[in-house]
Amino acid sequence: MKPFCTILLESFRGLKSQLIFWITLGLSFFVALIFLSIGFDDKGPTFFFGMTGYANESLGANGLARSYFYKEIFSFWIAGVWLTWIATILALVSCAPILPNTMTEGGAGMVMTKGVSRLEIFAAKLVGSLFFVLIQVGLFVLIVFVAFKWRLGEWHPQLFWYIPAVLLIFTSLYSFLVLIAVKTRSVLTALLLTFLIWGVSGLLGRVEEGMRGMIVITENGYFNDFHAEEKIAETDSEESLEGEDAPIEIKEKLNSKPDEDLVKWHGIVKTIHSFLPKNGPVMDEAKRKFLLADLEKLSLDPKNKEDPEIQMQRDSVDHGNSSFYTIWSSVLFAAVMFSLAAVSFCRRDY
Amino acid sequence: MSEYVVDLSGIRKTYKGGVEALKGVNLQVPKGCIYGLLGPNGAGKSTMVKILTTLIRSSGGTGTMLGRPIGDRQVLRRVGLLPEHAQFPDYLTGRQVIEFSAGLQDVPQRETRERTDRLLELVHMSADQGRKIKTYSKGMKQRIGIAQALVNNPEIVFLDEPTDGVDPAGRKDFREIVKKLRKEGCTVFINTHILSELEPIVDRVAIMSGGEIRGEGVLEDLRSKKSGYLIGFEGSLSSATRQQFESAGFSCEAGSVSIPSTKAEAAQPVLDQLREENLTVTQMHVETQSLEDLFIGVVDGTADSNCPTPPKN
Repeated sequence: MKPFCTILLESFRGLKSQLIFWITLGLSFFVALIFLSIGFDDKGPTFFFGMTGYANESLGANGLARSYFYKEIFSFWIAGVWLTWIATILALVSCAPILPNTMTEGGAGMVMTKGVSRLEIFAAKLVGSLFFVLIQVGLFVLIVFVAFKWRLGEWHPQLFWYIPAVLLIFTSLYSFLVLIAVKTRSVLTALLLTFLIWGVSGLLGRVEEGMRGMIVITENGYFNDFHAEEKIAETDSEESLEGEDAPIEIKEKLNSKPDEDLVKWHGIVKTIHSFLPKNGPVMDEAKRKFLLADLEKLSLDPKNKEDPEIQMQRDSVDHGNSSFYTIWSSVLFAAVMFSLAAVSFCRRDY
Repeated sequence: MSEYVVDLSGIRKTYKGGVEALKGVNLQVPKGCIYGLLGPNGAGKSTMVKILTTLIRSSGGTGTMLGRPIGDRQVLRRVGLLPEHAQFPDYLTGRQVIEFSAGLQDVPQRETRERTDRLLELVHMSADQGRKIKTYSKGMKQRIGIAQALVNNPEIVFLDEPTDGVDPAGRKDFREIVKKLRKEGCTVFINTHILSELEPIVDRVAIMSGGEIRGEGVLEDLRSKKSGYLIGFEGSLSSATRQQFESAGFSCEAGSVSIPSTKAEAAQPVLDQLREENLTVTQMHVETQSLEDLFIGVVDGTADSNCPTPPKN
């Protein structure tokens, strides 16, 4: 165990010695502070601890939309932009050199000739990287958690779902980076290819989502019109349904089938995408956990049970592939990549 | 169990692309000696050390180190290594590098501190132990490299090009350290192409070239194979005498004759002949071949017949 801890400690010292580590940490605190600085007074939201703001009573301290506004800022900007993109890119750049540095001729001679198994070295380096991200994201989410209590007066423990979500996003991308780094020993190549696979995966995810939407539209005959079912129910006869005045959605529902080519291509895209990391959907899972907690409360309230607006909101965050598929396919991707990298790391000559 | 700390037989290494770095190396390193592995760049010296320290796998052959098969990682806890082009984490201090090495080799915490202090003193780095490696000169890094290689009290230590970039004072210190290690019973295996480093301290040498051991043995024995009397004289030899000397295997230069023997009796007939021709003998001494001459002779292939080589499988 001592060699493992020694390598872990050395990895931390290595990370701490990098300027980008401190830049990432500084930026994390800065973003968290910016979020913390958003408050509310009687007139509306305020920014930078009350230094500026704008008048909008519905978003004010007593406004009904205050909570929604604050959560949207978090889920769109903080989680959607900062955590999903910028923090992940910075973490990848910070951690990218960890293994290649160990694999240089002089570096390998220093570590791999001391009787420690290569798998242990590999594992210690990985744990070091993941721990680094865990600390960064953990501290960040903790500040946000406090911010929610301070600004909205409510604890939102569901926020902590963002920690495993970001960790999973990072892990799946980092696993691919590690595989390339072990194969090529080039940090730059590994980073570029990782960003490429990230882009391809995101693109395929969007395409798959779009195709799935098209199929749903065609199959159900409606998409945004959540009153369509009522319209169908309220219609007296088949004639009126088929007549010229019938709603378009109803006509589509009665007459359409999903295009076979569309279904076939959707299957192909989904299959390819299933082998890739699913960063957007993983983040959506955390968002779902976070937002559903409120929507569940609203939708379960008897007075809201029939409100289609609330049900639609609930559906809009609760659609797509299952959580099991999204999470475990990403975990599987990371496991396969790490395994291949570990085999290569342990078997190669240095 | 082998009487040698390193006992290799027919070790081969072929890299991807077909480059044959080692072509069936046989090598035996006795316990407690300073063993020098000499060879030009690209001879395969570092490849062999890497095989012994499990950094690379051999393509064939067998061998043991400290009684365990080559490739056994556990035995590395009893081995020290200063790798060629050693690259220590530059954000660590000199002391931390030694402690890092101790941690990897599971040296107990209590002993780590005591050993680190002792080793820093040994390599004359106590005063600079708190500075980061990135602020060190090449020579200072090599000193720390030697210290980290010794932190586990190894039974055998491999030093790959240890004096590369080290100043003359550092080289002298290095020789003292190596002698001290031998005194303590540690086997020191030095890989180098800087011959002057080895000459004063080495017990045995192996000369490697083109992935093969071309010569191996006790340094003095190797030298004596090419040592002999040199007799200087004034005047010139008659052509008949010159022919006679050359047919006897002596080499004749202007004003000197070299006899490939260190026995005084072998020189007497030559002296008689020179006097008979009324030539004045000006000097007579045993000429010992330098390690450099020996090395160049072996590498060039001109000394093959004179150097013993390990048996081939």
